Amino acid sequence: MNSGKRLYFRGGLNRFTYVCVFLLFLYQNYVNAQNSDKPKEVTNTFFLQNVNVIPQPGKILSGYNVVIKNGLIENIGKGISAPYNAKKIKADSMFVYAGFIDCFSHTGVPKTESKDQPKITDPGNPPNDIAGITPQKSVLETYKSSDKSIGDHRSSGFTMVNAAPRGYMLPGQSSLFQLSEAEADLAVVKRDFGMMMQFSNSRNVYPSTVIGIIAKFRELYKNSEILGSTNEEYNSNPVGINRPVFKKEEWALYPVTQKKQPLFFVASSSNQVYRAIQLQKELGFRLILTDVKKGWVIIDDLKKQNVEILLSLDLPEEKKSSKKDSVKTNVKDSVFINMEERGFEEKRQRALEEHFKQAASFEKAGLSFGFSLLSSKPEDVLKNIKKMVKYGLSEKKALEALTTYPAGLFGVLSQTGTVEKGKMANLVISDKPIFEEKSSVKYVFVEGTIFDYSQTKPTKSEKTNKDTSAISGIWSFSVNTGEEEQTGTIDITLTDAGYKIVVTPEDDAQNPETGFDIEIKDNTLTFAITTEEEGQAVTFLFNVEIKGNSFSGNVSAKELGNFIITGEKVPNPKHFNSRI
Amino acid sequence: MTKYLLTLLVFGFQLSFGQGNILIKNGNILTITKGNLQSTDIYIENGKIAKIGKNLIVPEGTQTMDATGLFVMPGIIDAHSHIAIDAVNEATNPNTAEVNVGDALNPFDVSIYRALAGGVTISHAMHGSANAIGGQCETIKHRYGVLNPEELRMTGAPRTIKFALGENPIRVHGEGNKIAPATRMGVEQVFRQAFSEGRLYAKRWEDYNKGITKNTPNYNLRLETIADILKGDIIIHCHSYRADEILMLMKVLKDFGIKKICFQHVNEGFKVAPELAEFGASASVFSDWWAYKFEVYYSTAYNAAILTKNGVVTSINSDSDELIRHLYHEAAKTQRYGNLTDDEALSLITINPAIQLGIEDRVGSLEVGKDGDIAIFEKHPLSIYTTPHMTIVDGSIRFDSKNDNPDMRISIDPEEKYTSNFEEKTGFKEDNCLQDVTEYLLQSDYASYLRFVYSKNHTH
Repeated sequence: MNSGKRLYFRGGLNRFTYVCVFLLFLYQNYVNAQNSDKPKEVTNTFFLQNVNVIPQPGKILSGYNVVIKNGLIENIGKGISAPYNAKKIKADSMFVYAGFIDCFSHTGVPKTESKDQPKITDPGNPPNDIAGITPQKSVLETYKSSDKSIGDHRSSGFTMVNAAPRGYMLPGQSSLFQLSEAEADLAVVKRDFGMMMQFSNSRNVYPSTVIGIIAKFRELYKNSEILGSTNEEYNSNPVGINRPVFKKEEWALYPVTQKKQPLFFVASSSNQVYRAIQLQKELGFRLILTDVKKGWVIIDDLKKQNVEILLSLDLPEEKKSSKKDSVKTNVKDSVFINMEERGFEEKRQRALEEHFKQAASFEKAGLSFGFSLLSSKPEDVLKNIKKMVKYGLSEKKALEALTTYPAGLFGVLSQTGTVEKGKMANLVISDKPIFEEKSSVKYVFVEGTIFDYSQTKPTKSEKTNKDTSAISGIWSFSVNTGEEEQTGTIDITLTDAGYKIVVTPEDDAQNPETGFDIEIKDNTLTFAITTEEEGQAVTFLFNVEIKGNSFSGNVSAKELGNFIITGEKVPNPKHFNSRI
Repeated sequence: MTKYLLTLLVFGFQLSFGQGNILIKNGNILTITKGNLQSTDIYIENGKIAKIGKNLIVPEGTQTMDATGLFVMPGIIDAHSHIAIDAVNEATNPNTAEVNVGDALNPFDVSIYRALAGGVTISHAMHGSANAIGGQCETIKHRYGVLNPEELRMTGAPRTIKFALGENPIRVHGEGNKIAPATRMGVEQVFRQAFSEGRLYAKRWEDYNKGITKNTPNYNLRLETIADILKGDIIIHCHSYRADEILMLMKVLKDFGIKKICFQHVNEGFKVAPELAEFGASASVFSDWWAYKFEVYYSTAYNAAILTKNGVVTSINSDSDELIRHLYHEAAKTQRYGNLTDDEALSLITINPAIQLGIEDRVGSLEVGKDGDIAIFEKHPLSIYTTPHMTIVDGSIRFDSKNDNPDMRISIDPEEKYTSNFEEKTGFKEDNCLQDVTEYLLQSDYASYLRFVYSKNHTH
């Protein structure tokens, strides 16, 4: 928009008008910088003076100048001067890295609104799209440059993402995008690069469990192979055989069976990793273990496997010490010191550290890896990388995982992944070495477009903070199912990442469920929880209106119907289960 | 060694896959198949029983376990359980022959350890009974401490599959989804249809492979599995209660030439024991558990004894992560209800379930060449006063009562709330025996006494 204006005012205008317009333009940019990271396109040439360039992991060039022009790194060197039309970026003594690459996530893919799905009469034989089997779908259909997640991840230094469609078992094919503001078809760098697979079921239809998903995958895979070979046979000599039936799901999976398209297999736990590896051994596709969270337990086995690995950038939260203290001060608990609990707590602490140390232990074992942002919160990403470094991951390896490893994985190392003359100007600039605890990202370049964070104050959503007192807290609830009264508590807290909701049924207090798809509008709160019964997932949608210290509304589950829910705020929440 | 093992368990490092060497010295050996041997040694080498005899000479440095005064029997086998699997029922379709709980093994399930604490070394991890034809099952070895699910498998054990009769498939599909089967007749029809389709499917592939037809048939994993049952490659384990239905299924199997079947639960098995024996079907029963739904009212504690006396290979199973801890008591009940001999009673939890799972050549009795799976008890395992002392799988100690850590979970989610084993099982934080009383007592002089008693006795 701005750049368009600029072009119109070229020439013909008197000097005064030009200056006025230019001042107005600068003001506009100033306002923009205050409000967002919107790019300012005064010029497409930029100059970084006296910066520390990290050309590739493990190297540093201090006191260098960098020229960025027309989307590319035009020049890097000592004593190069700024081109006449270059905008000088206030980056003196800052640190310049190659832009980070998110190896796998749903960045740029908006969450689909949960529409009423068609009623399934026979859950054992659902249509493939209802069953979550849509390998033919390309993320290009759903990627939106306006999605908030793009800006969020860019502000952490990410300039590229391998984004996959959302869905269940086989949601579709992922593509590598520039995290620019361009539409999908312009931002895409590698089209339909990989296929996504996960042990995640579509609600209440076949396959509804991990065993169903694995069986279905085997069958689909075999039929895809059969279709491919039948097609070849038919093409060479169709006489006497029927024309192959091109079922879209089977045909879409064929490149995976031919190892022409890798399978990004979401495998967080060690059990899931082993299941993915077992399927790979059996069927023979190119496996990329994705969003691995508990990989350290099986490092020795992974070393033997020769698979590609993407570690999750999600880390468990450390337990707040205050909660522990409140437990300790409870007289009864302090008397009945429980050996079992003590053992458990020791293991929990140990497990927490193991999570933080995962990347470091992979490095120690000589394994290469990239990072996936599939399940991490945008605001935690840099914090978590720093934590991994604090827990022993070398800065060199961290940078490799964010730049050169993914660039190699996606086959774009000649275009990006390092800071070199002639490569894409995908850069991240921080005030201190980026893995240092107090560093912050000041500028990000995505293919030569600058995103300025130097003015941005640390964000804290003041707006939402205000109305916390009304909604936050523990609420009791009661649902009348017609046959019985279901009661329990709903615990609502505001965290940095937004609201967190935990629903604890009274008759099943040891299995609290965490709410998702949380939305608060005026006084209306909507969210969903998924419970599991005999391996079957049931999703309940809550829709309640809050009036002062009570609420009313309804809870619905597709299979079970609609029920009325009422509740009240618990005045002084206590540990209701500290009974002896 | 056990201390070392526990450290490993606690910190989640990998234990060796098994195949240990150990000498069990001077125990009372209950071989099950070859009588009892007093003051005898057993030497396990590389996970297999290498020698049984008095004063065995073994390589120097071999780990030795003194079993003087203790009772040494083969590891207990549970022919029906659902532990160590992440999914039990793919309940969306009345026939899910293609799914396999072996794809969802979970080596971190603490139930494995609790089973070991009851001397159980092998269990049959089964699909549930929601579908007339459920999924395939997995025979697992209780190698608690391994991290790779594959290492739980008893490699080479025959394939098995779960079938179900009666109320469960009718309730789930007929009542739940308004599809067949809605009646017991419908359940029969699911079997007949599946076997007929499976036969046709096998024929289609046979014709294609022989070149009789040119079009490649579709691959159907469900029918592929049914075809394997027809071929005799998979043993059916069928959830059943009523005698009429048991006879029905035997007739269906006869019609399709299928021979390998073990009836599970089979509470009315005593009514059709001769018929079961004639068919060659086996039976895996509860000792005395019934009346949890309508079709399970007509039951008797004499079931196992009646079936045994009629020549049916019978076992006693748990179907429960709690009952699996005391299967030796369950077996002992057949001596009260049916006067079975020691060997007959112990066979119900050793060699007989092994036969039902097709692994009797490898486990189920103490014989040279068989796997080194051993349960050691303080007193005779059929005595009500006995307690499990130690459990060995493939020559590796996996449970030792002298080193029984209060918390044996291996994998912990750091964000998980602490739940005691007691709470997990009962839903209560603590037992309620002293509710309200304790608070009163805490104010009094009894507080220190109580503290002492509690720390001694209540460490669950």
